[in-house]
Amino acid sequence: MNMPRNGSLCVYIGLTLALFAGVALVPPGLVLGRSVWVDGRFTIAAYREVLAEGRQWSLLRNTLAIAGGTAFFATVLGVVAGYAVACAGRRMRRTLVCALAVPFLIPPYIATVAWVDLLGRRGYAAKLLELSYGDGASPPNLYAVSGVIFVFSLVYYPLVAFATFLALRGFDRRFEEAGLCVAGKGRVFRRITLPLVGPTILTGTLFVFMLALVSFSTPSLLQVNVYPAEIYSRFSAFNDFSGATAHAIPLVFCGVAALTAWGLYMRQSRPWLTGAHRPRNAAGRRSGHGAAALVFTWFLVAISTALPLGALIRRAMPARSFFEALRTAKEEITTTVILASAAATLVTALAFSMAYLERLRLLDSATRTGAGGLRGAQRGSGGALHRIFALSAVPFLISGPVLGIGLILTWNRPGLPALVYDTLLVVVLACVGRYLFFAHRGAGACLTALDPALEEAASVGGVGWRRRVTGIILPLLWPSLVAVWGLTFVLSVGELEATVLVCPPGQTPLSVRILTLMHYGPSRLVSALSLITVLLILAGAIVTLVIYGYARRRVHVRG
Amino acid sequence: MATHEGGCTFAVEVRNVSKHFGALVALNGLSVAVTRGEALCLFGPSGCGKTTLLRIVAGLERPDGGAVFINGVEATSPTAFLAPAARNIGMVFQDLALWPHMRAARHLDFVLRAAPLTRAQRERRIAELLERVSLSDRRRAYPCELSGGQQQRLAIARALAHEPRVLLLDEPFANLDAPLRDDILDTVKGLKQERDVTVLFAAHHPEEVTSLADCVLEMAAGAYKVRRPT
Amino acid sequence: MGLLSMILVFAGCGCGKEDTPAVVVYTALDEMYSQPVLRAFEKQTGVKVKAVYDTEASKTTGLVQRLIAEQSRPRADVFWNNEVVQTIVLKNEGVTAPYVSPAAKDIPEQFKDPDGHWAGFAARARVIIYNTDLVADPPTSILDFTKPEWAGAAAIAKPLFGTTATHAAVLFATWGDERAKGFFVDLQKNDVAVLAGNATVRDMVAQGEYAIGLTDTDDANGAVEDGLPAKWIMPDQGEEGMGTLVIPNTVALIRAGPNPQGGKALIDYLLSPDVERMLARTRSIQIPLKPGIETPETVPNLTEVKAMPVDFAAAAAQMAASARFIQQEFLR
Repeated sequence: MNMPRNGSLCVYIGLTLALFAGVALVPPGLVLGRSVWVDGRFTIAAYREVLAEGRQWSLLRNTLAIAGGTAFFATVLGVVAGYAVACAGRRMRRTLVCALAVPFLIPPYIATVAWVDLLGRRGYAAKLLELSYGDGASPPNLYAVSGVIFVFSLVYYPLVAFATFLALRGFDRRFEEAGLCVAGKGRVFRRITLPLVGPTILTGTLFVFMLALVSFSTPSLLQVNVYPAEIYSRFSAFNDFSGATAHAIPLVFCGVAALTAWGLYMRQSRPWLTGAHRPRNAAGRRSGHGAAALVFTWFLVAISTALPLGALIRRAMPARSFFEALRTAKEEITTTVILASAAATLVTALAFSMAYLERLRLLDSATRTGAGGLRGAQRGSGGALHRIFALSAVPFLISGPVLGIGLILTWNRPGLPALVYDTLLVVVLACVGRYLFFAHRGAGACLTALDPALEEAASVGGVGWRRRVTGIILPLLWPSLVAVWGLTFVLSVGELEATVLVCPPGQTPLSVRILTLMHYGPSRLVSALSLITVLLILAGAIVTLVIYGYARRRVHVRG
Repeated sequence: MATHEGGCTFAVEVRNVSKHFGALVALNGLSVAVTRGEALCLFGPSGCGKTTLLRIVAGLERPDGGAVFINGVEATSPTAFLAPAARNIGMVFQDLALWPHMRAARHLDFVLRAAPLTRAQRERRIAELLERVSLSDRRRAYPCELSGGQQQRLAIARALAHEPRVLLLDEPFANLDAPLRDDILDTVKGLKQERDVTVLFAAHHPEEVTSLADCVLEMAAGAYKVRRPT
Repeated sequence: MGLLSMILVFAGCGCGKEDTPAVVVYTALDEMYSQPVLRAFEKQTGVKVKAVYDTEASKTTGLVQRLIAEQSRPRADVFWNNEVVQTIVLKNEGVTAPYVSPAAKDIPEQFKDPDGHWAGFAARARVIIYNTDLVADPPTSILDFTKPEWAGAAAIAKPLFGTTATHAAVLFATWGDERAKGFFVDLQKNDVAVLAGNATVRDMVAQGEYAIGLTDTDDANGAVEDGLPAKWIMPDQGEEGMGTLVIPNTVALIRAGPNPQGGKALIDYLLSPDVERMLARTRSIQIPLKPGIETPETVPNLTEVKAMPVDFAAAAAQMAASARFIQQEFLR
């Protein structure tokens, strides 16, 4: 299919590119520019200084250990949990999926506060051990790299679990059965199962790696030095703008390296991933392993959900204080809901537009270069637009504080209308910048799964691009877009690290208020507000799930 | 039919078209022309380039070299390219590509909205088309609620909705049992006669060829031969 | 792009037109204490105050960075800091404007900027907190933290942030590089714990995790009021002692802020005796700088305390160097 060149499409491309630039390119660009353009001249002194520091290695070691360790353990836990979900019966599967979503819905800094309460030096576990074994016994030290990995793994493993479940659901058991006729179990697993389900699972692992890589709050609360924390202290303790920005470079580098490795692996594995493959024999895996995995997963859910939530509830008691917090935080709750809904809507719309334009360009370049239609073109380069949009990872990788400063530099300048910077819109943009990468990947994956012939059939019949989008793509894709919306809503409610730098006077989201109050440790009010945040996120997730279920039924029952 | 008969304007004319996918040669300097109202069958084994040729004619694929003319208009050449929507063709895809979220009538309505028709005119056209493919009683059915033959007929109706002069069918009879195939064959033959539509269709079973095709393009390993069916 | 307009509506819902323009204040003093003061100002003057509070993670310095970043088009009118040094940093960066408030008249000179860029009020002191179950004879000087008898039993907050960073910079400015570095190296050798913040120091000492700690009066008093087994003392009060470090809140007018008149009115209010009285009566027992303000008994009287003589401007100049040393050598 050829990409038509008409006015409305050009306007659409222009708007998408402008919004993308305003959110994802200009803020990091300005920060970077200011870090090398000091007192009217170009200098890389800050970068040289940073590289020469001896503590770079310990920072890099900690950062990579946390990101890598979390990715590893979250994958191990997630694969077992995902396998368990695939093994579960229909009804239990639904319950398990909902239960598994909860740990991911607890923002990491709230989970950390809860775990400190449980496993900290004077936490419940320490008291219990002391009662049982006397003074000498103490729980493992949470204030270390291993502690951060522990907390992160229990927050992020559901991502890998869902990826695993999706991979197994899309995996036709007959592939294995055909293999078992001619080869042993081990070889079938290595040569058939793993190559087919591995890429999807690895995508979950990559997301976990990225989230753990740039997270500031948990390492900071647990006093572990990592790059994002270092960036914060450079800004804060040294007033060292260039140094802080220079410290974002290793983060970007690690992130890009991980993305590249993943991209290379996916490029090899992609042909059989494209297209909506709906196997007939995927459901109903039942085996002895499955039962064991189920037991383990319920145990895991209990540990990662009930324990931290229990600690928060215990700390927030009596119930009166919870309602008091609810009363005093009314404004913050409203602000958070408005902010997260607007951010999720904008990021989903932008991500979809980006993915759709890439698809059009891919189709266009495919007809030009003869890459064999959409499926062939996806194996190819995809053109300039694809490369530009790949930069959506940058605002996420440079970490929250640097993005926050970038947004200030971009939007708070004489001549620009105050509409953006003086209102919640700047916080919306911060959330969009931070989570565009995930939304873009999600929207891209959904579009890839849509058979190009559906659009081609309309194109041949003389239907223009706008009606193809509104008449075919959106109606078929909206369940997936609702899911992308829900994910970004959840992430936006918990967003803190860029928000804290840009939230306008008089409009404080819940996350910022919690952090403001954390000065007093895990107090009753902090715990109550944390619970309110979790409830808000759960409400958002449930609404999303209900709409998603409804949409899927409407779209797929017919499919 | 076949290679250029001077003076006559062909409905579809393909001149010296080549197409490579990496090292794989899909089409190798193919030239063929189809007179208006006739049916050309592209016949050959899987991978011989049948689908590629149809996609090139539809404008869904660009050739590496050569040109395509539709009703005398230069549709594809090194210097010109006409968008699929502007070629006035209809296409039935191999896996049909019916829109799972649209009812049968909505499929046709969706295509017809691109034409300057009033609501009443559209309704009339939809009723006619559904009648023609014997789906009048299934107008509110979703694709998944239709049988295999009904789905195929709906795809044909959709391809004909905007009254194209050329109809491209990609393996329309694959995976159909004999009675169903005859049913579809009858439908296409009827349409061809009524509307003077030029048909290009891909097939790899000899029995599909005989009853519909006026002419057969035999494709095998980069060699092409045009013959009249016996 | 109907979507965009929807978002604009969302975003605009917080910025309706008001008759009197609001005053925007960035405040680093904990919300719990600063919010009632700002509400009282609103009640008294009818001028609405929009506040951005600092958070535990970014301490004072998140707001300072934000003010610097916003310099080309300031959004704040007033910066209310809970310490001094970062305010001086802002002055040096050209973020603040001079404003000599009539209310600043009877504030001691040590706590005012000679150029009128900032003025201090309601101070906290850096005190030693100790666990009464574990310690009968508490240390009397911060130098005792390096003594072997307190090895592994003492805690301080990370000296990169908040008042602990100010304390470190003051020590560098007062003692000179060598002695200050030596002190921190000795702390390290004596296995002094470095915790997240002053509140954590208070909690850990109150819970008996550490015997003694260095924290602020507001945090220390919280533990006492909660009936925890903890008490605090003003260090270095003896004849030879260098005195206790007293760190006031400071307030400064932002250069080219959107509402300078409102900003000045707020500064006048913050420097009034009412505010010092109000803050002294909170849990944070902030010490009035102005003479003659009646306070509860628990609040120390500045005239009876041997305060450490400090050149805050010199400390601000030392800040970057001391922070670098601490990060690279002390916190390795």
